[in-house]
Amino acid sequence: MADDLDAILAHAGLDGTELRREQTGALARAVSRKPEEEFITPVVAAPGTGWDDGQQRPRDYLEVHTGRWHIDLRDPANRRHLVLVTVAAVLVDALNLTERTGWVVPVLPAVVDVLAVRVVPGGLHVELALLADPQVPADLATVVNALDFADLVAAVHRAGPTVAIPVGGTVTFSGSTTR
Amino acid sequence: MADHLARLCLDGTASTGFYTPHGFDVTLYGADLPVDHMVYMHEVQHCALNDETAWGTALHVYARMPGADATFTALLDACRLTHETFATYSSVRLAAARHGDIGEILTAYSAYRVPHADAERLVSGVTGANRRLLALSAAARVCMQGPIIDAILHAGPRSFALADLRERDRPDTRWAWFLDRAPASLAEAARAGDRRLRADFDGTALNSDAGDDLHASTVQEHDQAWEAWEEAAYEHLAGILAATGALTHGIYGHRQPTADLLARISEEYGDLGLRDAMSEAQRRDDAAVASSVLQQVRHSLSGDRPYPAMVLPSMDIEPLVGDGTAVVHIRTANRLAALYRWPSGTRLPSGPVAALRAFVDADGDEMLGHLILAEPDRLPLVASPAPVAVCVSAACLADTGWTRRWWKTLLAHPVFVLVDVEPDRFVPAWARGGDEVLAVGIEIRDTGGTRAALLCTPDGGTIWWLTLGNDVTVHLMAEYLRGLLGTRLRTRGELPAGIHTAAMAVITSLLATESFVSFDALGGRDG
Repeated sequence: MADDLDAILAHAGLDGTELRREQTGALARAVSRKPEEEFITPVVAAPGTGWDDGQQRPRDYLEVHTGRWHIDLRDPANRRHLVLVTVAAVLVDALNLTERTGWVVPVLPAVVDVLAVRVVPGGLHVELALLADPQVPADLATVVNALDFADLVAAVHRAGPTVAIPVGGTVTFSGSTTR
Repeated sequence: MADHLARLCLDGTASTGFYTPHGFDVTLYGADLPVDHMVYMHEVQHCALNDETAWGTALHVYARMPGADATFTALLDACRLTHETFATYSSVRLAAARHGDIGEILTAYSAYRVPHADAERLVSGVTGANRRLLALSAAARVCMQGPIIDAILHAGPRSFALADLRERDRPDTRWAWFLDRAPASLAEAARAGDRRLRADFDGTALNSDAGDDLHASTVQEHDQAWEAWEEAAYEHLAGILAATGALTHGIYGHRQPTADLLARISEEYGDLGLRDAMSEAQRRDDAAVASSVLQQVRHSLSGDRPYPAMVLPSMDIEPLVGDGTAVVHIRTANRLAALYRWPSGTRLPSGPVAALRAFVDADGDEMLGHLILAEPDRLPLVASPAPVAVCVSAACLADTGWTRRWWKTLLAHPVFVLVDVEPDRFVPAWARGGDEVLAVGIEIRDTGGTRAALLCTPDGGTIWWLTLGNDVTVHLMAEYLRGLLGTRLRTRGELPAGIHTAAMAVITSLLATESFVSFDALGGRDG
């Protein structure tokens, strides 16, 4: 059954069972005007990123640019991560956030639920549900600044109900829900 | 702090380097000088950026504070993009300036192509090779000059966490912001720099930076002008960044907070070996910069790991000496412990240790055997049948009791003092002495590649001080000596005939048996 990632990949003109640097760059360009490196870096943080030499690599910026990695698109965790990165990239560009996509990705699940992503004429349509009483995730408390988090929450709550995605498509925000 | 995440690397299939706030290590293959030069300069750039910024101060502090590894890594993660992009571009351009057409110098370092391309995009609207370097430097410094020290002082050094800082005050977020606005952001900053120069200086500095030639534009007489240029560019960049709410120190505004933080750290943790930020005068003083860089560099000669070594039982020395010159190496016990991998349980004598070295077969494993000469009276014995040369490290000379006992015996042979301490520890005494110092630079090519050495004698040739490394190290040392000695530094192209054989024997022995050379044997990483 087709899911949100299928829609995103179709929108970017991609298929296949794995994502490499080149395809990830194409995906970045399809959803955001920001430099593609800003998209690629958090993509490589996917839970099941594989490295061509078989070694587990550290979370180092430069390793990202070797292009010697791949992401298995059959892995459900990888698929969820890619949807999250895509939605984060869309929001950073559409809401003109100062924060980078890589910063938004880990905190986004504490702010919104991704209800659906589908292809519409001219782009993507992203449906988000705002979460009630968002809090900085406990595992990010030493890294994420509380005021930055509050700014993101405020920006998301201020937006909508419908916001245009600059490269094409729309984001809709529905009312607060409690998870 | 040796794991990959806790350092900034230039890692590829050729020469490699890595930097931590304790210093930098380079493994130079000597096969390709432009590549070696780039690797060396890459690590120098990391040093410089940390030594002159608030974020760099924080890295220095948390690299040394006990139990602060996680905070250090978080801080490093937040500035990798800034550091690597700046260091990669600057080192490539400096290598090109020295060696001409360098072609695809990053071939062996594919991971650095994207940062290099990012930097080229950032500076693509800036005219002049020197101004492109300075504009990138100004941007990197702005990114690293957020209010981190204030945050640490406010939270307390132990309680501080990255979360205490806004995202916009972290280096890589700022860098991405400038990148997002490339090339206009740096081009506008460059125009601000040009305006400052036209207003406050004559046109010679600007005119000297018309093309790609860094040599003409970076002569010393332009130093003040270019410093003003970078400051103007910095102020412009900090100004436009302020629109995001970011807070940025003035270009030298981190110095007082740095001093305050170091005082607080010293109060709470004692002496962690932290230094104050460099002053403006020091930044302009080439000798001070050379000295600062020299005390942080380490050249690896044994590859990734130190040589395995063992203490040989008392034995006849003749098989160890062979037909050539016998080199007696003398190092402090701490240095020996750092230089080699000794079998567990090895107990080295305390203080300076004199030994003959030879690779030996130890149950199928090749190890570097050390035949220790316990007392000075053991030394003359090795004079027969081979001539002897002495290679004593400078750190040993700090032990005055040992020096009193050994020195007279050592002087019966050619003595070379291997420079393994900062030049600040001995060159100022030469400067005060008023005598001429003779310096001879030599290049050594062997199967291991190309190395360089500088031999100096402040006493007419009785003792030769030996700096070993690559051409950049030698250049920096010469620069430092020139700064302190002026016209009393005399240079010549080749060694006096009487010392040549012994010098080459010592250098060859060092290249074959010393795991690394560096200038921090006293109070550095050995302890």
